[in-house]
Amino acid sequence: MMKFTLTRRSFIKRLSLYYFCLFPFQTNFSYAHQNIKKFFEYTNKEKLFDDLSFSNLDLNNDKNINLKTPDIAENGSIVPIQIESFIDGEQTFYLFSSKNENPLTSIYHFHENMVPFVSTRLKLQESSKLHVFIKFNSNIVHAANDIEVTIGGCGEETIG
Amino acid sequence: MQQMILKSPLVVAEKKQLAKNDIRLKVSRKENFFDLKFLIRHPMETGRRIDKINNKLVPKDYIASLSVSINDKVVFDSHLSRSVSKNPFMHLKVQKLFAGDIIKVNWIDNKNKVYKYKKTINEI
Repeated sequence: MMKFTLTRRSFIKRLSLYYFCLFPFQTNFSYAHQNIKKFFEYTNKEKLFDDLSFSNLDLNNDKNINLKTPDIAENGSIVPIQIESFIDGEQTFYLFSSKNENPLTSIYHFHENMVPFVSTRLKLQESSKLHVFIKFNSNIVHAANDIEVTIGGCGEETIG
Repeated sequence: MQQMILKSPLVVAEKKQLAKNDIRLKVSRKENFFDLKFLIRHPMETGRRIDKINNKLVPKDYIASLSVSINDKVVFDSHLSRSVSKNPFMHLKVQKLFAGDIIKVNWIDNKNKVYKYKKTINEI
């Protein structure tokens, strides 16, 4: 006859088994972000463009992008932004602000059943240029606008 | 007097305020598409702001990534950073949407904590 006994040794064995069963599900969810996470920590804009292969491009405003930004933003912590593209299919938007501490602000990916349109609010440290790159079918398109900021929205640097 | 205080609009407004990591989602019909707007209440701390009471830096606290799915199919995927303004608001457009569809919004902190929200659409 087998006897069911819960000793300390068996309990620890079982615990470790459950742990290894649950562990991969937790990491899978945030796996996609781990690859892109390093790009958000870059401080040099040109190096960032090199690593994302955006460096050898014509930095002209493309007709397929409609970028709406305010000319003068009084409060740098809330700058409304609207981007719309007239390209069909899946695509990703890359948003950069040239004078922030970390230039890459956000990435948006649109799958099927979605109009490539987004409007959000960003923080800007100084008056600077806002770049938008759109990737689709291994093509890249660019648009940029100047924004004047009167009060910076990224907080102070030194403790006074 | 107590009844008067309860009925005043200021108290009602206080009750409706969202707590941290709460979401308010709205869907409306347009000519060729559907508007999807949502607002998440979140401080989005940059790690550069100084707390004036303690005179210390407030630690980083922001939403790292966010995704929207309709009927368990991922439709929109995004990676945010600390340079998105606080209480992040997003306005998106969906091509097709039917009554009975389930919209899910998931987002992850910079400390890898997952938050989930689900809403079924009854009528559009």
